[in-house]
Amino acid sequence: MTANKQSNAKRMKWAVDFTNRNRTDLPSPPGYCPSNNSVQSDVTNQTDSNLLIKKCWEVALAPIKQVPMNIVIMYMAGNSISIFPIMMVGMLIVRPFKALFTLSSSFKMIEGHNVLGQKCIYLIGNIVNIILALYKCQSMGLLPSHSSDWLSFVLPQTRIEYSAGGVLFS
Amino acid sequence: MAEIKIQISRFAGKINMSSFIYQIESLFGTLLLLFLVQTCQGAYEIKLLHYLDDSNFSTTRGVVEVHNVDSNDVTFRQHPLNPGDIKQLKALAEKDAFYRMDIVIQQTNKKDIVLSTYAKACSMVESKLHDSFNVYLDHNNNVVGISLLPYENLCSGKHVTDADLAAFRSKMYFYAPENGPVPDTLSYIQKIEREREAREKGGPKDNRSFLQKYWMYLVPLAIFLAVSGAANPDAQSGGGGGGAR
Amino acid sequence: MLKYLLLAVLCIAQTHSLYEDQVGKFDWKQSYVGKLKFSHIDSRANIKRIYVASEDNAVASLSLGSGTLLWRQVLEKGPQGAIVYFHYGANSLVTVSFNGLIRVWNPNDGSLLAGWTLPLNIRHVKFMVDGGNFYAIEVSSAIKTVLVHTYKLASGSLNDVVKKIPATWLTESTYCETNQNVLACLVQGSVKILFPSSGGQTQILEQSVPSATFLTPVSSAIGLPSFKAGNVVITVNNKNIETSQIECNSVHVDKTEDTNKVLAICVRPLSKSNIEVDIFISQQKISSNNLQLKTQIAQSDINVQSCFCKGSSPSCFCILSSQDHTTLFISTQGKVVWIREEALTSIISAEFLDLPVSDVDAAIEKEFDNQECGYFEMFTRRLMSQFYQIQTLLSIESPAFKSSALVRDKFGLHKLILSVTSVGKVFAMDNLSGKILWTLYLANVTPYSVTGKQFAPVFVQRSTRYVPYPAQVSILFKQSTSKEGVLFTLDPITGQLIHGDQGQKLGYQVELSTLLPGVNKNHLRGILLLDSNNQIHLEPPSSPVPKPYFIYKVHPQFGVLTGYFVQEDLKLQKVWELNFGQPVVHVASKNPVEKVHSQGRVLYDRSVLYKYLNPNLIAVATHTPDNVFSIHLVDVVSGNLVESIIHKRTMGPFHMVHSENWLVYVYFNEKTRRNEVSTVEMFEGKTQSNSTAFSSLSKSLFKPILDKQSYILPVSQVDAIKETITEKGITSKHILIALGTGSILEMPWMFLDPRRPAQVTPDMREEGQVVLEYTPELPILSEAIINYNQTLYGIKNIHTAPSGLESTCFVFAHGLDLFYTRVAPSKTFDILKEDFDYALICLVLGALIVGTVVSKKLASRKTLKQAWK
Repeated sequence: MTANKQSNAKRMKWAVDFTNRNRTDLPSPPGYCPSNNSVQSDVTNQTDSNLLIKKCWEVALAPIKQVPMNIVIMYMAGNSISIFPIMMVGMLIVRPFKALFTLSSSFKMIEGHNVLGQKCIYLIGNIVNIILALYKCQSMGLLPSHSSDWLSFVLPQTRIEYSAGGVLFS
Repeated sequence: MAEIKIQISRFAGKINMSSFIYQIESLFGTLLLLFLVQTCQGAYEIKLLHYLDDSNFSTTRGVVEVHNVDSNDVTFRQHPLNPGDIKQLKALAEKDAFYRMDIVIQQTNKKDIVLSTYAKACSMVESKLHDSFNVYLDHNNNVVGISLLPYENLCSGKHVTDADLAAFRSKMYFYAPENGPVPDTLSYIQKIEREREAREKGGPKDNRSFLQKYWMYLVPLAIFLAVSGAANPDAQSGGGGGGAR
Repeated sequence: MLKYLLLAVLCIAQTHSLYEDQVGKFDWKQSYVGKLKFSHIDSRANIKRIYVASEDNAVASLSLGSGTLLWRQVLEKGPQGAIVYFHYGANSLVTVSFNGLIRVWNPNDGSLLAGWTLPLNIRHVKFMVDGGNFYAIEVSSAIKTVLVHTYKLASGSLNDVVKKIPATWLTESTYCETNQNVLACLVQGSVKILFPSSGGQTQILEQSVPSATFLTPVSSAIGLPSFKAGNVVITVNNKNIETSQIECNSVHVDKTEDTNKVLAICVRPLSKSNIEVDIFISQQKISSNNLQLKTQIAQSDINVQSCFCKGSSPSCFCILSSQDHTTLFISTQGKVVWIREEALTSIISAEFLDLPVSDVDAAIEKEFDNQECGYFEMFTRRLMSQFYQIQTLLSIESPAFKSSALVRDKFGLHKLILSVTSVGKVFAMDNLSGKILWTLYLANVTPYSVTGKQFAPVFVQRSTRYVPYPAQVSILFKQSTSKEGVLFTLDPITGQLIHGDQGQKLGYQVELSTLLPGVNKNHLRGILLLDSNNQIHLEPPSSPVPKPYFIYKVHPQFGVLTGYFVQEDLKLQKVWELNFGQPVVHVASKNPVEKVHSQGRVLYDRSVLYKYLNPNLIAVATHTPDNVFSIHLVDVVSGNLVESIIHKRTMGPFHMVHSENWLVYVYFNEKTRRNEVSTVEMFEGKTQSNSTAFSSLSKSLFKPILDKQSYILPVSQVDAIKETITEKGITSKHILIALGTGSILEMPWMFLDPRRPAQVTPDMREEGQVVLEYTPELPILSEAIINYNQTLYGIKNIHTAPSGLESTCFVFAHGLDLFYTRVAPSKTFDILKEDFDYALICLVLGALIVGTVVSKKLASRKTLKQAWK
C-alpha cells in the first residue's frame, strides 16, 4: 500500500500535464503572425479554380497519353495466341470501356463548371484506345472478318429435286 | 490463177484447145473441193427435234452442221416457230412442264446416235428462245451426250410476247474429256535430288557479323539502359542535391 | 531424310493403333470355310479331326467335337483354284486343283509337304490315290481304252509305263467316277467296276442297272467304295458287288462292327428345321430319328459328306452339307453336335440396324405419345411411368442381365447386323459379340446381278425409334423359276416374316428398286419398284412420292443412261439420254443418309473454298476393250455431264467410292504396272452460288472446279474400298482399303487429298492444319491396319455404318472371313478415355474442399486472435 502511494507520487511528480495550461500565457514563436490566416483562404480559392481546370485537362488528356505506351505494349505482346498477349489485349480493351462508363464519376470533382470540351476529348481518347485494341485483335486474327469465320453458321443447302435409280437388275 | 489462165489461153490460142482449158479448170476445181473437204474432216450433221407437248411425237426444229469441233464452228439452220407452236410452248410453260429435245447425230461410217435432253419450258420462253447446247465428246471424238441450256435459267414469271418467240438463237460448245492425273514421280525425284545436293554442300552459311545478327535484341536493350540511366542520374542528382543541402 | 522423318512423325501422330489389352474388346473375327465339297472324318481317339475341302477353294481341318477351325489353307481364287479331288490317307491329305496343281498337305498343321503339276488336261481325267501312288485315269472313248498314269505321290515322278485297260464298251456317253480305289463307269444301263490300281490283270465287274441315268460316288467307309446309280446303291465289298435299293438321295454306306452287314444311312429334310435320319440294313429300316435344328436350312436335298460309325447298335456320326451351305454334324441317335453356318461366306448385303429402346425408356416415350389428353391424365401417366421405373430399378439383380439383352445402349454402340446371303439365307448377328441371333431361309430365290456382282437390295423401311410400331426391313429377291420379283418383309429384331414364308410375289420383273425419302403417317418409308414395262409400283401403295422426282436407268452393256421424270400419275416421261457407247463397269452414287457438316474448306489465307455438294451427282465408270477407263460425273436430274476424266492403258479390278464432294477410285495402270489411286474433289469456288437451296435444273450453267490428283498405292491387289461414315459428318473421313494380303488399311483423307501442295510454305503451316507435302507414293503404315494381326482371306466387301457416337464408325468386312471392328478417324473426341481416373479426381476434389473449409476456419480464428492482441 505504501509502495503504491510512493510510486504514484513519483509518477505525478514527473508528469507534466499540458492540457490545463492557459493558452494565452505562452508567447507566440518568432515570425508568427496570428492575423495571416484569413488572407490565405482567398488565394487558395482563386488558385483552386485554375488548378481544377488544369486537373481537368490532365484527366482529359490522360487516355491520349496512354496511346504510345499501349502501342509499345501491343508490339511487345506479339501476334500469337497465348496467355500473355490475350491478357494484354484484354486489359487494353477493358480499361477504356471501364473509363467510358465511369466518365461522369471521374469528372465529379468539377461540379458546376462547363467541362464539355474535356469530356469530349476524354471520350475520343478512350475511343482511340479501343480502336488500337481492336486493331491488335485483328492482327492476332480474333476478329471475324473473313468468310471462314462464318463458315460454321452456313446451313446445308436444301434439296429441291429428288432422284433415284441405278444399274438395271439382270 | 488468172495469170496461169492467160498463159494457158495463149498456149491454147496457139494450139486452139479450149476444151483442154475447161478440163484443167475442172481439175483445179475438184482439187480445191478435195482440199476443202479435207479440212472439215469428220464434219457431221446433228438433227434437232423437239416435243412441244406431252405426247411422244416430236417435230423437227432444225439441223446443225458441225464443221470443226475444236473451234466450236457450227452452222445452225433452225425453222422459226409458227403461231401454233408458240401457243403450245406457252402452254407447256404455264403447266411448268419440260421442253424436251431429241438429237440425232449422223456421223460418217458410224451408226446414228439418238440422244435426248430437256429444259424447263418456262425458262425457254423467258430466255426468248436464246439457248446453247453443250456437246460432250469422248476420247475418240464420238458424241456422248448433249445438254440444252436456256439463257435464262430461273423462271421469274416475265411476260414474253409472241413476236419474241419466233426465231431460235443457239450456240454450240464442245467439251472433250480431260486426261486423268498421273502420279508425279519425276518432279518429286528431282526435288529429292536437289535437297540431297544442297545438304551435301553444307547448307547456307551464316557469315554475317555478330552485330548484324543480333541487332534486334541489342537495340531495345540499349534504349532501356539509356532510359534507366537518364532516370537514375536525375534521381541521383535530385537525391544528391537534396542530401547536400 | 529429314522430310521422311517429319512425315513419319506426322503419321505417327495421326494414326490409330490398339493397345495389347484392347485386342478383342471392340472387334471380332470369324473364319469360315465355305460350302463343303469333300470331307473326311478321322475319328481316332487321339486325333478326332475332320478334314474338309470347300467350294471356295479352301482346305481346312475342323475339330470333331466342336467344329472349330484348326487350320485352313486358301488356294487360288476363282475357277482355276477349284478343288477337283480330295483324298486322305496314310497321314497325308492330297488335293488336286483345276489348274493341274497337286498338293500334299500335312494333316496336323496344314503345311505343304509336296506340290507338283499334272501334265495332263484335268477335264477328262479321274484321280485315285492308293498306297503312295497317285493314279490319273484317262477314260478315252476314242481309242476305247482306259489309260492309267501312275505317279509317285511325294514327288510327282512318273512311276510306270502307262497301263492300258482295254474297254471296248466305252462310248461317248459313258460316265465314270472314282471312289477310293475303284473306278465305276455307267454304260447304257450297266455299271462296270474296274480296279485300276491293282497290279496284274485288271478285273472288270459288271452290274446291270436298268433305269439309271446318272452315277454318283457315295460317301462310304474305308473298304466299301459305293456308288449310286438311279435308285440303286452299288457297294464293292471285297471285289464283290452288293446292291441295295434305296429311295433316298443322300446316302452313306458303312459296315456294322460285329455282323459285317452293310448299312446305309439316309438323311431327308422334313421341314425348315427338321431332319429325319434313317438307318437301313439290307433294306430294312433299323432306326429312324428326327432332329430339331435351332437354325433354318434349305428343304432341298442334304448332302451327306462323310460319316463314321461305331458300336453295335450302329451309332453313326455324320457331316451333312445342305443346299444353303450349312454344315451340320449330327449323331444318328437324334442329336445335333454342332452346326457351322458356312452361308456366311457368301454375304451380298449387310445392314446395321438399331436395337429397340429398353422398356423403361419406352415408357418415358409413351408419356409424350398422345398430346391430346389433358393435364391430369399426363400427370397420372408420369406418375405411373416413374413408379414403373422404380420397380425396374429395384428388381434388376445383376448387371450382366442388362448387357446381353437386345436393347440399345447409352451410346448407340449395340446394333444388329442383318446379312443377306446369295443362297437365300438371312442372318442377324449381334455386333458386339458376333453371335448369330436368328436365321431365316428363303426358299427358291436367287439374287439379282448388277454389273457382274450379286446383289439383293435390303430396304430399312422403319427403324426401332418409333416405339409403338415395330421395325421393318424388306429384302428383294428374284424367284428362281419365273425371274419375277419377290419381296420379303420382316421384323429384324425377332426375325418374323410378315407376309408368310413365300414372301410377297410381285408378279412382274423388277428392273430398279429404291427406298423413297418420305415417310407416311406410320413412319414407314415406301419402296419404289420399276418393272420392265417402265411402270412404277409402290410398296405400300400409299407411300408419298416427293415432287419433283427423277429416275435414271443405266444399261451396263451399251453404256446408255436414261433419265425419266415421274409425273403426277406415276408415269415416266423420258427427259434425257446419254450414250457412252462403252460397257459400264461401276456406278457410284452418294450414300443417301450421309450428312456433310462444313459447307466449305478453309484455306490457309482464311478464305473459304465452298464445296460442290450435288446430291444428284453420280459417277459412272466405263471401260473399253482397248483399256481406256473413263469416269463420267453425271447429274441425273438435268442430264449434264459435269466432267469426263479418262485414263489410258488401265485395267481392272476397279473400285470407286463417291462421297461428299469427292471421288476416290483405284485402278491398275498397265503402263507402269502398279496400282494407282486417283482422287477428284469438286468445289464451287470462293463464293457460294446459292446459299439456301440446291437445284440441279437451275444450276445448268455452272461448272464446278475440279481438283485431281493421283497417287501410287504400293500393293499388289485391292479387294474392296469403302469410306467411313458418321452421324453428323463432323469427323474426318478415312478410306478403308482391303488389300489382297489380308489386311484392311485405314487411309486418312489427308493423304489422299488432291490439294496437297507441291511445296509447303511457312504461312501454310501457320493455320494449325496438318498440311502434307505431295509425295507420289502413299505410305502403308502397319499401325493403320485395323485388323492388326488377324489376316482376313478373300475379302469381298466392306460395310460401314454410323454409331450413336459422332467419333466412331462401325466396320464390317465379309468374304471368306467375317471381321467387325470400330474405327475412330479423328480419335474418340467425344468420350472420356477408357482409364479415366474417376476415383483419383473425386479424391483430390474432396481433399481440396475439406482443405479449403478447414483452412478458412483456421484463418478466421487466427485473425480473431491477432485482433485481440
